[in-house]
Amino acid sequence: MAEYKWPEPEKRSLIGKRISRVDGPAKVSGKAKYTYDIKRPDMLYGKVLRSPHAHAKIVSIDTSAAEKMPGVKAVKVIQEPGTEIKWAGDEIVAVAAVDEPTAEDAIRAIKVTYEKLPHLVVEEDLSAAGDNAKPAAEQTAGEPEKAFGEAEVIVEGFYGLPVITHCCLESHGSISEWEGDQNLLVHISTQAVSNVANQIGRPLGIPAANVRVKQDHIGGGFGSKFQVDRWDVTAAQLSKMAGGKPVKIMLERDAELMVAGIRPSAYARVKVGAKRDGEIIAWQSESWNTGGSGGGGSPPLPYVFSVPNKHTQHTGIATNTGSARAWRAPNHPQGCLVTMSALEDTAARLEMDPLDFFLKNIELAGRFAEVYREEFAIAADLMEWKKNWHQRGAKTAGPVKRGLGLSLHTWGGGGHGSNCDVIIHPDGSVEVKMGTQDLGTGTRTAIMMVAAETFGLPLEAIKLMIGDNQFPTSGASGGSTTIGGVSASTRRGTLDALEQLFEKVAPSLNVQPADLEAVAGRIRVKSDPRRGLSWKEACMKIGGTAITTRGRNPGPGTLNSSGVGGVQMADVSVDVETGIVRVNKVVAVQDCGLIIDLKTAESQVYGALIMGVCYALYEERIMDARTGRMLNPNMEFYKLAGLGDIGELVVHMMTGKAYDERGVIGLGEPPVISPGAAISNAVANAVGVRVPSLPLTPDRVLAALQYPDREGGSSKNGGNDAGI
Amino acid sequence: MMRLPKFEYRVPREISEAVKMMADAGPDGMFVAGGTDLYPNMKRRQQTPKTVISVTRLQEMRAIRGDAETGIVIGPSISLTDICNHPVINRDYPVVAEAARLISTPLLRNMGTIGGNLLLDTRCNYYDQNYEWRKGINFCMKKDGDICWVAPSSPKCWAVQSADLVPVMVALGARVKLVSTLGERMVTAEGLYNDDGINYLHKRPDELLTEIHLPPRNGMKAVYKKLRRRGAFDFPVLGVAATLDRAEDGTVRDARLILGGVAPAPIRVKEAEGILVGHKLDQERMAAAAEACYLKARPLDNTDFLMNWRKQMARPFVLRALEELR
Repeated sequence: MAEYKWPEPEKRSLIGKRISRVDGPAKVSGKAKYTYDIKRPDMLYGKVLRSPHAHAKIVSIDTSAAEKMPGVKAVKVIQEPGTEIKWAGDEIVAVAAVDEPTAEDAIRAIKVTYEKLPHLVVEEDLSAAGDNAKPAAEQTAGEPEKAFGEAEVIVEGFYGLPVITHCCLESHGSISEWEGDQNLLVHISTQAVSNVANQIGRPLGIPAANVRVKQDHIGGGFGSKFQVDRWDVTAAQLSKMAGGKPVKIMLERDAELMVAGIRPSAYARVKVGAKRDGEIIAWQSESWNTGGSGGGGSPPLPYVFSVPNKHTQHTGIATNTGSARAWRAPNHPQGCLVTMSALEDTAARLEMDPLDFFLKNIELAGRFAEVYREEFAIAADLMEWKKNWHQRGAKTAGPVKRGLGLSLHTWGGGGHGSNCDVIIHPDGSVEVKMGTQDLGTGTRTAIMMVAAETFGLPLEAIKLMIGDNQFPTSGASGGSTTIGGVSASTRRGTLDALEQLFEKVAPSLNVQPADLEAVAGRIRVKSDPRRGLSWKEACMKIGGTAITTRGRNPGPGTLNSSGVGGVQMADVSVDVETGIVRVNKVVAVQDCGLIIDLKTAESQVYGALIMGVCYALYEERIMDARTGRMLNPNMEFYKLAGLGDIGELVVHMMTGKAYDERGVIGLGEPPVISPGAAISNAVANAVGVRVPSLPLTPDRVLAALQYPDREGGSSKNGGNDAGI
Repeated sequence: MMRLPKFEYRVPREISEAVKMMADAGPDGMFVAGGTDLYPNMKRRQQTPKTVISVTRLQEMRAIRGDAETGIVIGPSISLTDICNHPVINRDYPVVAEAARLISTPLLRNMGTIGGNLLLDTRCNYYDQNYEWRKGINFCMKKDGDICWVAPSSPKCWAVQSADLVPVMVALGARVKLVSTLGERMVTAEGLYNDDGINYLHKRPDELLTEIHLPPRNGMKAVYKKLRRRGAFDFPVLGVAATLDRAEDGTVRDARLILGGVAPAPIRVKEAEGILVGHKLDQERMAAAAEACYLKARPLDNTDFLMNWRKQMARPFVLRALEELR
């Protein structure tokens, strides 16, 4: 049996190198087809009528005018009269018509009456939440009261970050069509190609085995595209009503921002107790958040640092807003911002360099203490921390103050369940088939690199097929589990196939199969590399039937593991007369075990830092308390950073023996956890006070400077009591 | 996807033909140049002309003539990109090019025109939304509704003047030529704008903006400062345009201070100008002028950011503008 391990560093020809993503040319040339681009013969366009009210009961629905309109092929009531609607934008009725204008006109012809009910759409002020606030977890460890009594320094603070959305550039949606009344073909924008059939088959009353699912490329998911949505089921129902014709429903931008997923907010009052020498001994926090009308989980507090004595209490607030979905490292950015801000404030009170303060307490970080120590040394070097750091409040002349901040984070990222078929044809061509998806992270490239590495072939010799549920099932791309799963299943499948090939080839070279190796396009004898066959010649020994193996994860051998640590440092300039923050530079030092493709790994971190700058400085969902509506459900008012707003990004990936030995670990989520905290800490260092809530907009910065003791600083959210 | 409603599109070749077409179209007609303001507004049904008359083929409206000595005449359908790159503008009226560079993104500057920017529709959080969104709150008084959501007891609309070149043109003392079938007239830029979010122009809908006149520059220096959330691109939530003309000894002969983005019309702060004229620029006078501007700024909560902060920002922005001119 093959030995299931990764090749030694000196034997790697692809793994660990910087390889450009294989689908890059297709994407930049526009050849890559996303679900949004799919156009099927005779396709109908579906549109959804949504609730204009944040909280209401449906009284009546009259679709008669829409049904009579020429070109309208199906009208489907999604929620019946009597139903209570809990957020603006919820789906009420859908139509399918021959083109988009007709579908939109039909939607506008539908008459729905509502009984409006009182709504709550903002949650920064816990005391205003009333019955909507539901106390959740309360936890105590050690003896917090006693520890606070023994503390030499106690620091209290308020910290928060608002709801943001996933804001996928390709909105959610799908195209469904029937063959007969039992077989469905679905093109869908999804993070889980292998899971769709089961999810959509059930509500439609057909076996999962009768559902074919396809997706070539996806324009972002970030955790919001794991589940088949109600509008996907609706598209299939409309298709059936229209005689099986394809029906396409892709969300409009406003719906994408209102109903297709949010990252829960988090607000917390925190108390930290420490010794004069910087030892953290006690933590207390009262936190609250909203995840829409349902739950939003609760942030892990304190984050990473296991403070021995702690008391935490969390309250979830139900609001009349769109629901939470997993957002790239669920709950971690919130826990991180609250914790790292409170700890940095503690360091500032002690007049300690936060780097020294964090390192003094690094053993509280547990398993990855050594990793963090190593990473901090590298980050400090890249940031010239010791040279550039100063005590809180820059003393330089002029209104622009510079500051540095830091943070650290952790994540799991163990490989998910994954299966693939590996086929070596007698003519030497190689196929790998897997029911996975490439979220834009480089999954295609990584799978092909692993297969090519095993076979000693160039990347382009591998024909990879993914994005179709007719291939062996592979897990959802979430929790940073994809790379660990697909690399391991591919490695096992290709090693098994290679072993079979060696068995076919060995007799002709008069050696044992175990004496062979696949290197540089040849199958050769390990002890005498001149003896061997070209890959093509070797494959001719296969005979008439191709070699086919099934690669699996989990499986034998240690190819992956779970758990990573990362640190980040930010350098900002803040104009204290205007409050405008500029990110000068962010340094990210990240561990993810054995790296398959160094280039796409670095890309993941760059992308995460950009996303981090967005939510640190610009991004927030703004709810209007008066109307119950989201005020910024479009790309103009929902602010993502532009190219000129990002600053310099420096990424350093941890590599070497100790990291390689842990096998492959996921990377998508961890680097997005720290930017908010690192940037907030840098701003505090620059201006001398904490700006309590993200995003660090200039009005919040200035309010913090003017009223340093005011909880929450200022927030536009919900505000609109402007008089004249 | 938001789509355009059906409309008739006409492409005249001469100004006389254009204004005749507009007279024929009546109140349902609108002129369009680059379309970067009008077409998105039409997709959201904020503006709903039945006839759209393009001015892009009117050669008469695409030239720049003159220089700093004579003053210049700018054709309003010149793209913002061309304004940014134009040698005479950059040499003689650099503030116009600087402000133009701050408008939106390169793609939109390639399409958008200088005239279009001067006539940009006023903006508001409750107005710049798609049709379904506005319908959901029963619309607002600017279009299809009765109420002002920003100030519910207000009889007037508070949508905000949001074009970067507007305060600049007012500060420079520009004049514009308006042409209709009834004749033509010259209006000062200052007189073009009306402090009402709905009727924000002292221009009849049938009048076509055909020329922008900048006066001889003499010794005048000018600057424009823009406040926005993202450095990359955003509409202004405050714009400060300032001009100064000083004698040899540094005494201010003439000054103009204009605030944009904080009211339905640009605000000329004559109090601040009075503080500066006849004196040398010192820290105290500049601070007093900035304070006067702060008092006159009256933003409401209908753009990005807290309105109090936007008002506060008038101080440092005016101060910085004056410091740059000193």
